[in-house]
Amino acid sequence: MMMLRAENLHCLRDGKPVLKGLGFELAAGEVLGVLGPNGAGKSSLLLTLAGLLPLSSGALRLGDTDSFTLTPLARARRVGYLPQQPMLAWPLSVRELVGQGRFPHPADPEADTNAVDAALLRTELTTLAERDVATLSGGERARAHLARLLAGRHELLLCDEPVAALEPFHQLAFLALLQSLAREGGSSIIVVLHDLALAARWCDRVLVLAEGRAVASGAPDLVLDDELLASVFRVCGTRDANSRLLGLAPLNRQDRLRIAGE
Amino acid sequence: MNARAGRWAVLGLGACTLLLAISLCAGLPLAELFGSHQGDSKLGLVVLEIRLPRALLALVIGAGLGAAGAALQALLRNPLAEPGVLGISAGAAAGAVLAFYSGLSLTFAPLLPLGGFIGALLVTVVLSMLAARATSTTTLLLAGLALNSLLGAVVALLLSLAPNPYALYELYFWLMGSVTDRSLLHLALAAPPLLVGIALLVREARPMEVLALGEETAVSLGLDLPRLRQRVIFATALAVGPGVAVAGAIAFVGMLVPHLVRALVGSARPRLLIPLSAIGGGALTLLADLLSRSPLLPVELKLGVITALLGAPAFLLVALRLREGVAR
Amino acid sequence: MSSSRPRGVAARLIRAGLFFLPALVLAAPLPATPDRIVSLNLCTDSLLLELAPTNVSLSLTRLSRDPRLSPLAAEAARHASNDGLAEQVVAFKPQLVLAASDSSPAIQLLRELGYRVEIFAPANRLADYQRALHRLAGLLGSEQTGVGLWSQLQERLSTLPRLVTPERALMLSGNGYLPDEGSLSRELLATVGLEDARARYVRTAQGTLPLEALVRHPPSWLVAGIAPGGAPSLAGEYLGHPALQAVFADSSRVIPLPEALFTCAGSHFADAAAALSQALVRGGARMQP
Repeated sequence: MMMLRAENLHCLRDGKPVLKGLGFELAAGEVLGVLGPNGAGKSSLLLTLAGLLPLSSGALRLGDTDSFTLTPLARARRVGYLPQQPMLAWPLSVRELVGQGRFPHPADPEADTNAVDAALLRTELTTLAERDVATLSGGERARAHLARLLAGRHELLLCDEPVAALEPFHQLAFLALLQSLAREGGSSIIVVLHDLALAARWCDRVLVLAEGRAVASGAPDLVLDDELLASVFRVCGTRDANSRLLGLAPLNRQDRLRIAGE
Repeated sequence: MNARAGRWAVLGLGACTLLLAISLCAGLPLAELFGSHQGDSKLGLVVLEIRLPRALLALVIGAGLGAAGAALQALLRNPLAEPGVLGISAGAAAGAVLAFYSGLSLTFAPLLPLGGFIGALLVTVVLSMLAARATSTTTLLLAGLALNSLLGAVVALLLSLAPNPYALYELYFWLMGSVTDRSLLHLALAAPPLLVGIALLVREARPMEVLALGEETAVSLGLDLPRLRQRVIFATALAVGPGVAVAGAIAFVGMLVPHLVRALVGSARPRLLIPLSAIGGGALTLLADLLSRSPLLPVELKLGVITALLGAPAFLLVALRLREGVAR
Repeated sequence: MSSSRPRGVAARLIRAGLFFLPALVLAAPLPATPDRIVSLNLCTDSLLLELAPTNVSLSLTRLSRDPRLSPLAAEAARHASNDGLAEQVVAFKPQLVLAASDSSPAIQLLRELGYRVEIFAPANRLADYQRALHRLAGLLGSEQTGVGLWSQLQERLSTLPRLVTPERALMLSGNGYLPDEGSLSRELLATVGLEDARARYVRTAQGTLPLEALVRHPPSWLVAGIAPGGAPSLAGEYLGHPALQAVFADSSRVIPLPEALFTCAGSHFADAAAALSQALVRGGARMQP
């Protein structure tokens, strides 16, 4: 059974339609990368899945439950959300931050401590647990917020551009972590990414959005062919021997004109 | 929870007790006070009927202001938020003035703290609606300042409508605040709702903790934000309004105390900040009251004047420290 | 509550005044019996009401219509009223303007416009009142009335029962306000043989007496200025404080006295003194005769 099934999602944000009949599926233990140009509706999709943006129409099933029937708290237990540029309104230690992830669950000191410790272990932050989050490096801070997400023990994790501000080393480390969470931990993960090469490397499947609709979904190597890259992203790709996307390059003049003409 | 916080809590309570004792006995002949003979029963009268209500009112009102300031700063994620600056105290004063000068509270005394509560509630509702629209920090503060000015003018207007030769003096009382010569009746009117309000604010500290991650993430974690806002503004009105109704609007305590607590305890978590700010608010207000009538001053000043005089320089100090230290 | 009208009005008035200045200059000398007089102060209102002959047109301050502030409120209501604004004075076309102090902008403007302004500082002692009576009577041409009023007052005061030995008293207004050193209250108390205990207490910055001081060292008699009627005010809470009520359990030692009777000097001073005297008698003090 699919972990998540979305059909014909329509959604308004500030009165403007941002999702126009979007549909896709997600299996358990899968990492799904959501790609697309700005304004495609990637963040809106995550907000909708997290219950932060109401759907105007469409069906959303989480496992065998209709998403509409979930109370906010019930949804919060099953779905975890990590926003772009997570912030802290007041100083917290790493452990205190991670502990916030336990909010949706009934208070149980033992279970809470176990979850927090496990999350710290997974993100390799155990030695930094008592440090003030503001004193951490960019990569460490990103991991700390991820640990908060992990502490919630959600079935579905939603990450909105979690690596955009990180240096390459930390980008790779973070995504590797996500991948292992899915493979070993069985979580399903939806991650919005701008970097197509990273998506190609770390996602099991990708969903490409444009103007609120899905234009393609499937394994990255199949979906991210030159034609899609050209039409949706206006770039072309450099690939390795196995045709996996390694990097991007500008379109040559001919192709640009052709695209503009279409 | 936090050993350092616990130590400061005990210290704070100790300070309150000490200040209370000083407030009750200072300037009175101690030998007579504790002597077994009932010779000078007037001393007992002074302590029981004049000093005790004054000191306890200062403690409880200060605690309400401190807790409300901490809660507002957490809820609005705005370090400058407090009942005085945001116009909540002025609203309470307007409500209380309406209840008092219309004669309503003379027929039924509890209408006085009720008037203060309703006035405070109306302002907090308006502020909360603004905050819900994700208004920026600056805009919210400016709105609060505007409300403050507006409601101060309303108080002056109401006083001028009720012809009263003492209008100016009483305006000064309502806008600057004072616990001088308040009676046990005033304490009985204000303390119960104030204490309930403080208790409610302390209870809301736990759900407010998750606001550290921002409203969006907090809601994604299952926080019922509109309900939380409602409960906090109700509790804030309860923790501020009745106090203003019997002692006028006392400024600065709600802004200053949470910052002091933050600096001393090294944490801004609502679970620590709200209860400690209640204790600190009580201690600070009582201290200010003691200072306002200390022999060091040439004349007795209104309590609100002292809190403002203490508040401004201390606030600057705290602000400078915050900027020097790690970005908070 | 002097007017702080914007300069626009003043400019208009000055322009108007310049037009009519020649006329006003010619009209400056005061007639022997002026029949249009404006008073801009509560106490000068009182003086006027006592001295002015019946056919004279008066404009008195609005305050004097308030029975809580003036014992002659009913009579004051029969005359025109003003709020102390120069504009209202000009509209009334008076021959004489009475005020308590030179410093208000309205007075300065009126002087510039050529009006005859006479300053009567509030009387702190009966002797001052006598001088004021004499002077105003002279201006109004009612010297006889003036003399008569003074002698009546003296006679009434001299026949009042006084205390055999002086006893300490304090006179307090609302909110515990202790009137200034230079007010009529001292003389009022002295008239019935009470010693003003004011000097023994230290006032607050606002001029009130700290309740604690009053409770710890209560005077033998407390004269409480009251303003009956009108809206509720915090002022009453001071005198109603439980501690004070307990100290003055023998309530005959607290003498309520309408403030209107001693705010300004006038014939009503005798009424105030008489009320005090009667209260002392009721309170069981030893009096003579």
